[in-house]
Amino acid sequence: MSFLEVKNLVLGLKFQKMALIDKVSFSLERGEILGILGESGCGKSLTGFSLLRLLPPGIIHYSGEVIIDGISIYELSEEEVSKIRGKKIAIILQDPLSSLNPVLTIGEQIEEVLKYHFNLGKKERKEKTFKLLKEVGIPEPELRAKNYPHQLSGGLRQRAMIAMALAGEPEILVADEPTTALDVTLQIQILELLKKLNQEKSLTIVFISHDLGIIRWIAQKVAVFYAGEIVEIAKTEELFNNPLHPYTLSLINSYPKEGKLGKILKGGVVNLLEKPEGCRYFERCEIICEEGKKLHPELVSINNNHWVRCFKYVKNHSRS
Amino acid sequence: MSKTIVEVKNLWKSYEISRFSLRKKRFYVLIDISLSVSEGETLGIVGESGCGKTTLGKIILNLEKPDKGEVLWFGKNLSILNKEEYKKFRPKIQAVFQDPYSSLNPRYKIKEILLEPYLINVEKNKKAGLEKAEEILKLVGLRNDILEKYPHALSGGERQRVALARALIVSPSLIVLDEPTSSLDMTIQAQILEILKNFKEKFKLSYFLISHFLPLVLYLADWIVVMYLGKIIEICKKEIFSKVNHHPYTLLLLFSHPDPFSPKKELLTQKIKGEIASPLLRPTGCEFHPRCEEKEKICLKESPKLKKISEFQYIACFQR
Repeated sequence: MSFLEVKNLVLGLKFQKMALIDKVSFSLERGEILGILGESGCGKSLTGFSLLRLLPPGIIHYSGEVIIDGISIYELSEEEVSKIRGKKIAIILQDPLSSLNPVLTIGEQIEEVLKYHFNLGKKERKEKTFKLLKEVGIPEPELRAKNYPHQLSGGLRQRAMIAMALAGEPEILVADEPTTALDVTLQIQILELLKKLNQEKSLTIVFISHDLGIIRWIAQKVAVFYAGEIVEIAKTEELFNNPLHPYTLSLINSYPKEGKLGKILKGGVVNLLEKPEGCRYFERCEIICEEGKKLHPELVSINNNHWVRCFKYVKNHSRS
Repeated sequence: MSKTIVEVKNLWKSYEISRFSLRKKRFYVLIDISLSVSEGETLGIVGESGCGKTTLGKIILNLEKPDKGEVLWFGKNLSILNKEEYKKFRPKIQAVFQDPYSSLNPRYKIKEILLEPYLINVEKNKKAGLEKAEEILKLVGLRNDILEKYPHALSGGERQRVALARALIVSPSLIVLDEPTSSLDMTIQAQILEILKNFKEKFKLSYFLISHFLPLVLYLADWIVVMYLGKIIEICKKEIFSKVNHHPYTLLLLFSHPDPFSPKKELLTQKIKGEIASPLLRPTGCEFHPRCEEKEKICLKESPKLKKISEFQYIACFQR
């Protein structure tokens, strides 16, 4: 049994039968980093939230399981989930300014987490807060703990967010585009920090991003999302050296390389409310295939640990 | 010699803020900037947030007035331009902004958005304007039925195309592109970049491209201009960019982008450290010295001037 297991997870709208995440399955070992790639609206952030059972209003769990270290979190009561959230699994978000509380100091917000999860005295909590701030690379933690979020720069704010997420000593960290709002030179510092935490504490990370470079650098395993489902999942090097799904291929090709662009994908991002009945990528796909018009492809295994959702490989597979 | 479209000479710009509503503090966001854009040429400006790249764009568009220095449109100084000449030149310099959601009037139909500049600047003929609008829409890859829609009905990529069409309808010579693709998805970004590159060759358009994403600038620009804290620290021609040595800050920008096309390097940048300095607390000497690896005594005292390395490269650094 893997450390984190997601099995056929389906999430969708409450008042309408409409799946937004469709049969998502993956598993992660302790200390692994999974990268999730995809365009806006493809369900990558929702997948991140679903691991903590934090669903936005109007979205409910249809079926499937999320199992963290043997605990299936969709079978627990709300109180029991609250005990796991922050302690076992924590999340950091894209925009630290809007996800930190503006009327509490950084120190107070971190202490709040400690208060909830641990039985510590006031002094111990303070010391732990300073230790956490130091660990994420905030200089002069004693002073910074008294600052409000708006008094910190973007890079420090994101570090404070990470300190808050680490306060409950989680084993899994969901990072939802943690560096998108930052400048490039700060971005790399945050990435280094996450990688350091991963190596030193064997923290398992689910890293959501749309930047191929970051994913290739940080992740060991990559899942590519399209229109609410995984279209390809493989080890990072395998995926970048041997991309199979036409969508993965065009994602890689649309990154400017040495001042040049590869092939350019036509069409816009698919609207989940008017999903095509067959293959969801059918309209933008350059491969002409008859099956894709009506039928929906399943995820097939090409070799061990490389899975792809495309009819092109179903055929090859059945012939061989 | 090709025609110069826009030239700026020794530009200074400062803003004032009042702290604690008592004392006013003046700080410089642009210091002694000189550059020019010729016909058919693309200038790419890179730098972190707060380095003054957007302000420079605004001054070129005459949306902001500089404190000191000259702005020349087609060789004519803006401050001595009379009303008629100004009206003639104004439509030749157009802009496309970062956020296509806030730069299109939500109460106007796309038809009206495109017609307005045409009726004012080209001719008062609705029919000819509509024909022209349809022609331009085709060029940016949109269908005609979009004319009757409002901006909210369009996706981000479509909106950015409309913004581009609006700039193109008055046949400009130069377009200021302020982070034109940073709010778009990778695949959509590639589509827009391709359109921009096509137009450059087709209409001999010049661009003033502002971005923080170096691979994008390398794709589109002929000259790369790197800014740090209101100063130009390097100008380099694209052709030789990958072959020559650079300013330490340019190197920092180069390294801080994990490349999706090369296998992961262990700890690719231990060198990248420090936050972006604020123009409010400008370091003495070279602005970059607190973050620089190669700093020496002189860097703390004096500020380097832009000097010629070769015909295609200018660097402001004592060590180069």
